[in-house]
Amino acid sequence: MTYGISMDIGTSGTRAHAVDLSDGKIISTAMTSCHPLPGANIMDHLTFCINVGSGLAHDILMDTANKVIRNLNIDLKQVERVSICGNPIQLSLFQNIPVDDLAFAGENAHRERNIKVQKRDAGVFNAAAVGLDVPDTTELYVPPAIRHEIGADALAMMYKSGFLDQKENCMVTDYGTNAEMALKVGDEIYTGSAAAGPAMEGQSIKCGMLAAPGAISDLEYNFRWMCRVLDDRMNVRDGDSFDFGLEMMMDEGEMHGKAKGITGTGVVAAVDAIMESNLWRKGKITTSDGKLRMQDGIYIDSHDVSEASKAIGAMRAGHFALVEHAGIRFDDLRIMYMAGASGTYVDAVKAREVGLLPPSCSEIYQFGNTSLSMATDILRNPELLDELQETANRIRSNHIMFATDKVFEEIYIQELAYWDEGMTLEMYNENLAHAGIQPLPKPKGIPNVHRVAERDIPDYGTYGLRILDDIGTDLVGRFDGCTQCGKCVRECPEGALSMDSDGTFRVKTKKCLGTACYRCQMQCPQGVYKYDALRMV
Amino acid sequence: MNSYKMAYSSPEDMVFGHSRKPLSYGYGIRVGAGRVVPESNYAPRAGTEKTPERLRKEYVDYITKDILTRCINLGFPDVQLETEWISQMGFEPRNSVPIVTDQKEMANRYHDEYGLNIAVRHTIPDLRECEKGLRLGMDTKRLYPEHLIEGAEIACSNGADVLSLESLGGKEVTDYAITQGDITAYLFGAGILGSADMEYLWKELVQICRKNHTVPGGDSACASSNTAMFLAGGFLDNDVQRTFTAICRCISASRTMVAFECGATGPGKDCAYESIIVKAVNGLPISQEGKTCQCAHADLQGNLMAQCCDLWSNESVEYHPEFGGSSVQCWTGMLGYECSLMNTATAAGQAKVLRDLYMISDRRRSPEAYLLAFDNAWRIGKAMASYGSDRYMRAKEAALEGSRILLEGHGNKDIDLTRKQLETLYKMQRDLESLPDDGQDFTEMCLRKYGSEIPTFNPKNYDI
Amino acid sequence: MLDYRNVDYQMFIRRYDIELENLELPENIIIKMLPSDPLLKDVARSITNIRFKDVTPSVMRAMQMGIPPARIINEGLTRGMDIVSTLYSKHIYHLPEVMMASKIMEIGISLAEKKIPGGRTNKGTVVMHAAEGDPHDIGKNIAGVMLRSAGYKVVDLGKDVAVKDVVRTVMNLRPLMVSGTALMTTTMPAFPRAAEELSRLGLEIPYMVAGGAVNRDFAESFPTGIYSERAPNTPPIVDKLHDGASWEEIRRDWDSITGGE
Repeated sequence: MTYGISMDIGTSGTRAHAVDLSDGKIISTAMTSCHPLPGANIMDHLTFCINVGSGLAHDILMDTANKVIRNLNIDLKQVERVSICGNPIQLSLFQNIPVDDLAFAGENAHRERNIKVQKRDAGVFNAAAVGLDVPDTTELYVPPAIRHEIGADALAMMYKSGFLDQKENCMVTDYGTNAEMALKVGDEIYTGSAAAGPAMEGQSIKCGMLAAPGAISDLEYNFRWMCRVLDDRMNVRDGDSFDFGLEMMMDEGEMHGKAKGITGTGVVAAVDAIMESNLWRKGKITTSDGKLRMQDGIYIDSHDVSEASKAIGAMRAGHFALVEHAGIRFDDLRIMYMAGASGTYVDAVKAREVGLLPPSCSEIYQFGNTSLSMATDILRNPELLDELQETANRIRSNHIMFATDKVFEEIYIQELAYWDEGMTLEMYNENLAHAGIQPLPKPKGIPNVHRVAERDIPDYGTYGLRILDDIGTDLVGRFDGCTQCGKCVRECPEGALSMDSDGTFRVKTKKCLGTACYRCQMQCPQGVYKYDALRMV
Repeated sequence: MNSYKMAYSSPEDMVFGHSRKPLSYGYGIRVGAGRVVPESNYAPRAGTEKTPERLRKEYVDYITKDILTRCINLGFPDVQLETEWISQMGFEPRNSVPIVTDQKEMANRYHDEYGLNIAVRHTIPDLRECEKGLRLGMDTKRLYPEHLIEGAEIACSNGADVLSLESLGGKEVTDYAITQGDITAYLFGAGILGSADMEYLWKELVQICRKNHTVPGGDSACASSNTAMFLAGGFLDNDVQRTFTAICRCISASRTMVAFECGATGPGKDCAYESIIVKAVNGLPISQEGKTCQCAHADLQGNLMAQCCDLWSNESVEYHPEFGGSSVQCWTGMLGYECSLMNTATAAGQAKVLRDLYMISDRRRSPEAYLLAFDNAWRIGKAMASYGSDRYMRAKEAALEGSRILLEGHGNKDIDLTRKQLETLYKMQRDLESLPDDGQDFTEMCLRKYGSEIPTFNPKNYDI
Repeated sequence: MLDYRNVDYQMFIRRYDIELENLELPENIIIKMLPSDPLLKDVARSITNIRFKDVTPSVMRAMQMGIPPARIINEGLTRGMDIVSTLYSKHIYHLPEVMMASKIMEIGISLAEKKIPGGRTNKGTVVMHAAEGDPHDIGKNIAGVMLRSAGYKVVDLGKDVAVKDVVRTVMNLRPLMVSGTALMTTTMPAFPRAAEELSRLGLEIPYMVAGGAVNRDFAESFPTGIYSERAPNTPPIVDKLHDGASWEEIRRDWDSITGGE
């Protein structure tokens, strides 16, 4: 029997299928619940590469990749093909291609640093050579990026959702910390990438957490707002019901007492509930203590809404800017494809209500993880790679750099004022009219939501799913001049740092916030702790 | 049989401004959470319905604006508006869109600018005719059943905070019952037919409300029980006995409860005088009307009805000028001040004293008032609750308990009755006691008895 | 008589009159702050009422009537912007209005400035940029507008600015402050590098860092570094520097300086 392995190298975790190459059936699935590199987003990962070295980053990632494929329950000696998909940064780290062209944007920086822009075309490589524990003869298939800024993950989202075949105007977005988005009008495709930030993943929210048992993942309206809570088997079950206007719990649900936090999809639902209940006024929640209190002490406060609104505002401004650049009216856009885990699990109606989808969308398709499914397609049919390269070349993409786009800036300023300062939608539209930009309509009616995938990974295969919680990568080091006072260990907000009795420091990379934090280093009284000098053992 | 647990274990626990299941909705409105809210009702001037735009102007720029500014001027913290759709709106529901959206928009502006708490209840009209068919697909020519559902959709999807209806199911039979003084027919018309129609409609309306995040307020027995009450009239009127209408009210409580069993959450409709009985059982907030609805009709329990209300209403007033401003402003003023009195009593810890005064002032005014006094209403509710979801038996039991209370009260000299009223009461009691204990048997009996007697009655309207 | 003193009257009365009295109406604020000269009033009005059309004619008319250009700037245009800032701080105007008003002010200033021999005076110079390798500069642009409105000269180097260009400009201009923004964490190490280079050259100029990538801990991890969390925080910090505060004092009083907005 010969096998193939498809992998999605995602920012919040690695997911892999083992596939029987004789019939193309999925045998098993393995995934990690986090990325092995310190930090929560691609910027943190890039910074780690720049500061600590991309060789080490590659080694850490491959260490995890090998642990993942060992959990696929197949004989790795029989693996003939491996295919991968993901954003350009993760794929480059995997392939050990320099990422400095992605870490720094702009000609000045590239000139100053002698940075060469990498080509990220489709290709067949040697899987063992990049460090995978597979036979020397195993081929590694890498799909193409569309162009420098738009990676294979964006191609997957367009290719797998049906976006490319849709004749009518349509939009697709991969909902993640960095939201890839594309709008198709006729043969023209307009793309962009909005820095949505971590709120969509439940991070930077005080009671936020990733999807796990005890997470509030939704609020269901049944004349009260009922918390929906994940149980030990990750099934969504009924929690307590609330009347938020009265600030009262009305009914106890079966998950009473079991909530531990709230996920990104739960945050979207909470923001929607706040808006629906008219509890948002002048940038603040109007309840007596300024909190939307859900069960078991879990709450959302005004600052959390403000954090979530950064994601919502960036996405809405991004979608809006694409619509403006394409020269269409919102009314001309009916079809929306949603990809990624958040795009699969979020309540699409609530998401549209709060602004994560263009308000005019009346046909909404929720897909799962399009990267993993495209990688699996490639395993089954390696010739697809050529086809994908052709598609990538053919896509006449107009990439809008939001960071430098005047239309985006104009809209984003309205978003800031709308969310943080309580500016009304009427003013929002009046101001846009000054700049010659069409008004943002209110969502109307109830859209048709097509849940194409029930889960982000629809088929786990006959052996099912294994989740690796402990990736077990440590960075260790000793520092001259260290007095072993332990302040750094105490300061670590994630409990990721420990100190052995001989003064050896050990950082659990998956817990560490990385370069977004550096508190261990900054708090060192002796100034000798050097995060970047830590090494993998 | 599963009996219902009483929301209030004692009538003494019931008081205005408080319900067991309070609600929040609209712009800052809370009902049943400690404060009584005025609910202002209105009708446009005759002639303004000729064009949709003129009607919108009447509802929004005149009526709504007048009411909201008067609330600010008099310092009322809350107001609920009730737009009872006139028939023209029901015939062409699409034309109502600007009325619903603009009223909501104005409410939003006043809330934003002044902090006045506001909600809007839309009560859609029931234009169905039993001769043409009450259910979807039956009236193929004018589509009134379809219009009703479309009206609900339009009200909810364009910003109604609360949806209500005064449904007409069983009216052809209750009308017959009232004119003939036949309590069995009334029990059939309201208890069986009215309930069946309520279930049919409210299951659908609750779905529409859920989808649009609108509060499903509830229904009232306006078409049956209030018709009886108005025909019975005041002390100079003698055509319909007021003991008869009092027992009708008990039966209607069972019917009005059906909307809540289908998922409606309250606040109940203002003209549902039977709501006090229902509230004793299920604890949902209710709107009531009495002395401040004299613009619409006279009743014999003007003060008493305030005893346990959560909203206080004026039923309806036509828009026209008065010395003190427009009619809606004057009546809103009366509502607001009455609520202010009730809320002052609450804030001063005297709510139950005021409740008792309201109640005592009307307790002996009429048999219907006597049964609606909160202590007696609670007893009727308890009798009803012992039969749980059995709509026939609980309606019959409510009627029997009502008769017992009146006879007891008469014996104790707590309520005076005329000879004619007493005779009618005895007859009703005999009639009710002779009825079967099974709803199916009762229905078959009534079909035989009234099937040909009432030409407009068509069992297909009720799927029986 | 019942004891009514403990009765919570807010349960049944809302004193809208008292609330309205305490609520300052925008028009009242504007009228109170407008200059008395009718010509200058028109100039200021073009800004407070966000009227692009009105600024050029009103400034031209004031100049024709012989009002010195410096006075038009200081008592007309700048006053108009002060009013807008006041309305913003009272949450009556929002960010977009501030941005538009400041664009209007710039139009007026460029007209009047031409007639001032030697150009106009300002409260001081601030050099701004987005980090080398970072194209994200919306936040910087907003802060720049606010600083200009507050009377500072802003030298905006743009985005993706090489460290050596920052250092050279600061060397030449000796500004009150230099600010750098970064949204990408990869690019933010440029700031301590530039700050270090500046102190090596003997310049101790406060180095403000801002943007999504940085936080207060990072900002205060190198000498001269100070933090701005949001664009509206920036003018009050620069005002303190203008009043002679050192970067150490800004760090010490940061909460009170930024909390006041």
